[in-house]
Amino acid sequence: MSEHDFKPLTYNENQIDEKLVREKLGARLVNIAYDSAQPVLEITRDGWVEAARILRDTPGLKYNFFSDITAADLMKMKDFDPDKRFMVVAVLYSIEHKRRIRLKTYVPEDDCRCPSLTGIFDGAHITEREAYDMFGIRFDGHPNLKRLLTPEYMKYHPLRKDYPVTGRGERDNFPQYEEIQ
Amino acid sequence: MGLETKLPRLTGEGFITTKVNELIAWGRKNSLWPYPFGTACCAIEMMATLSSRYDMARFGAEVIRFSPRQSDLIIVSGRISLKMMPVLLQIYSQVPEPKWVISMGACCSTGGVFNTYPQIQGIDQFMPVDVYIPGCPPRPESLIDALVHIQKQIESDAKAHKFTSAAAN
Repeated sequence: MSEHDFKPLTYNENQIDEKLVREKLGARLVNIAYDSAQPVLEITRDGWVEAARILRDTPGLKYNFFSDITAADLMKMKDFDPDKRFMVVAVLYSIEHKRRIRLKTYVPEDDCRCPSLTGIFDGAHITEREAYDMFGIRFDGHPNLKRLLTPEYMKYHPLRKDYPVTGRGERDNFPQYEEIQ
Repeated sequence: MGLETKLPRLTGEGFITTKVNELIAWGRKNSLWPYPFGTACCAIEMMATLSSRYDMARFGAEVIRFSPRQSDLIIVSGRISLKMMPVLLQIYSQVPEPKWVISMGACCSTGGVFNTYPQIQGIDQFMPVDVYIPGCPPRPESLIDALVHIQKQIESDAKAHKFTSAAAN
């Protein structure tokens, strides 16, 4: 095999040091998976904040840039488990190593709470408000958890799968112009 | 405005007779002051209509006012959402009488393709609308046509002794 032979590309720009991650996160880490060559770490809900802090501060990891936090409602999935109804997803980026990582944790239906990352990343303020607005997940420790996009009087969280796409009559109930005169 | 060309033909003596209603309506219809309520892509077509190529100034409606208190024609162009509808109602109530409304495009006339929870399915459920423009987005010619329709409506309202379109509604 000469040096000019074709070699498949093995380099993954998002590669992680799995051993270091497992060692540092310990019991907070449930498993490591890959989605489109992007590492996805499943974190326990109780260790959510501490895991983000470790990933931010540990030399060699340094995921110090907060890209996004969002959620997904898994209600219509095939093997739906009410204890894992919502999946909270955070995307972090390491400016130093130019790597991206995804964290996820599950939130049960009857205790719809998740610890807030606002103490670690300031960028989480507005994105957690959006996730709260759309899914009704309360982020414990968020200093200003109000609705972001929908009106304040809205009673529902529209991206939940049990909310109909045409709404529950919000769009049809406005005062007529003659009434507000 | 073409009035002077009618003078010799009508009387030959340099004056015409008319009614005060119709004279006022003639002045109003040739000097509409639009308020642009642009919330989406229809507003881009509205800007094109107002600028030099299509030139709404030829129809006397070039003075865009960004205060509802200085205008008499609202051009609602774009999607109106759950949060924008109260704003639109307030803006509409701030426009002094007489006032007219153009509902431009599919979205604000019917909801368009957005049959979703935050999209108002037609602003005419909640406020009076004088002229609807179909299209997604409508061509600038359509907006000019709507303006001419408004002008005709002002004229016919004056002939029917209705000063405002709001009274007609």
